[in-house]
Amino acid sequence: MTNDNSYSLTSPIAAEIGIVEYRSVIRAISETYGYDFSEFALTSMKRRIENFISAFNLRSVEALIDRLKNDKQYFQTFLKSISVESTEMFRDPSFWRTLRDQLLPLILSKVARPRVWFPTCVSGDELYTFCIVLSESNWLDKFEIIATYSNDLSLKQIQSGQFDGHKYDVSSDNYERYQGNGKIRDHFISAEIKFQRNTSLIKNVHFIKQNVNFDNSPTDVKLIIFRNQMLYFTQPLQDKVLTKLYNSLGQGGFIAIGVKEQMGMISSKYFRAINESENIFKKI
Amino acid sequence: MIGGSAGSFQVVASILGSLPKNYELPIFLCLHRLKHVRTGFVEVLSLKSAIPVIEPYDKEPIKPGRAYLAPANYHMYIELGNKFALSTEAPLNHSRPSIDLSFVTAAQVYRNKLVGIILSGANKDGAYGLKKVAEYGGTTIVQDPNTCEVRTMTEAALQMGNVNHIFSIDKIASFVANLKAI
Repeated sequence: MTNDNSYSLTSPIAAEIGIVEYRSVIRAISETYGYDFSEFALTSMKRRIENFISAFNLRSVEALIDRLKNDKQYFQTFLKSISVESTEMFRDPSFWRTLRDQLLPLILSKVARPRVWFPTCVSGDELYTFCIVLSESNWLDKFEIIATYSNDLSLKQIQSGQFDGHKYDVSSDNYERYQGNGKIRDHFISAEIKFQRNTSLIKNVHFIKQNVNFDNSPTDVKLIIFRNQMLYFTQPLQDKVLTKLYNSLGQGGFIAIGVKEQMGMISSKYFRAINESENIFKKI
Repeated sequence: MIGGSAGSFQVVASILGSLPKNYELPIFLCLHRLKHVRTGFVEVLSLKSAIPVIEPYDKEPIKPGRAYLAPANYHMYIELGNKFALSTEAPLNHSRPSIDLSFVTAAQVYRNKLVGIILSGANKDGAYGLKKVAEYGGTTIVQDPNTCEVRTMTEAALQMGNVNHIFSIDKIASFVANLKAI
């Protein structure tokens, strides 16, 4: 630690961009690659673009647009860095306890090899957490797990088991509160310097590439885990995506969203809350 | 909007306790808290407060006469269109919720109508945000470091400059209670 009594002037929002400039980036991406980010929540999306501009030392918004239009590889890097990773493993330990002790036994009692879907995986923290929950109950081969992703770099990161070491301590504390069978360390090949998760946890997971519009979604899904991802959508987009997820769920299927997210307009028509504090809903 | 960390709970409680029941403005509270404790904080603050204390949901509309507390382990942004946007983006200054991010997003939306207040705390989160409040024409207040349990946060805010008032706890409470909707 340096002795810095004077607060560093490095600002958390390095290059503030205007709304008109922001819209011009979104438009350029849509025109060049067909990815539509126009209905993403403004404040967080704008901030992530600002962070990208400063992290990659770009002079201006025009310079960003220029690079994005002319360099496909650069666009992939951009996509990865504007996707929000999940914060940690075993976030909300009580949610995972509810899954292990109530919801998963209930689903298993009704269907053989129920299908579980993790849409839009970025860092795979929720996916790995789920697989640890299954593994410790000897349920890994009792579920069919589908993970969709929109960016090849995300897939690479998840399949390599690579884990951001900054998240390790909080994940380990969460695991203790979850009250697992052992230590979270047991599910890592290395928990020093280069943090590596045990990839045999995900060896049966089906990874499917999917665009941001949720085309080619799986069907007859019994459980969708989609927590803290709608935060980055405007309400109209939340409704559209929830409608698609609803259509992917089989009869009586379940969906979990983040504890501070809302079902919005379509909730009462399509879903019934079965656990309000953990935000788990059942398809009506 | 009020930011605070270690030693700010009693100050927030006395501010909320001194408000009139028919208070006309929304109050935003971005306080550092244990990320794994989801319940309890809002209930304790409610007991002391004259107006309802709420942890907003994502995209919840902002209403006057309520105190909104940033939920555990989420950043709380003020979004255009008079609503909240929550976020699980990386911590800033080791903090989620980050006071800087709440202040900056509020400053961009409310501009000269925003009052930013930094209370007692043990790190430097909020100093940059308060500076932004000033740059957008808002009013900035810092709790007198001599009245703080932990003075790091207020001293960092004062070093950033652009602070309109350095107030005691009572003075902050009466200032906030007397604010009217413009």
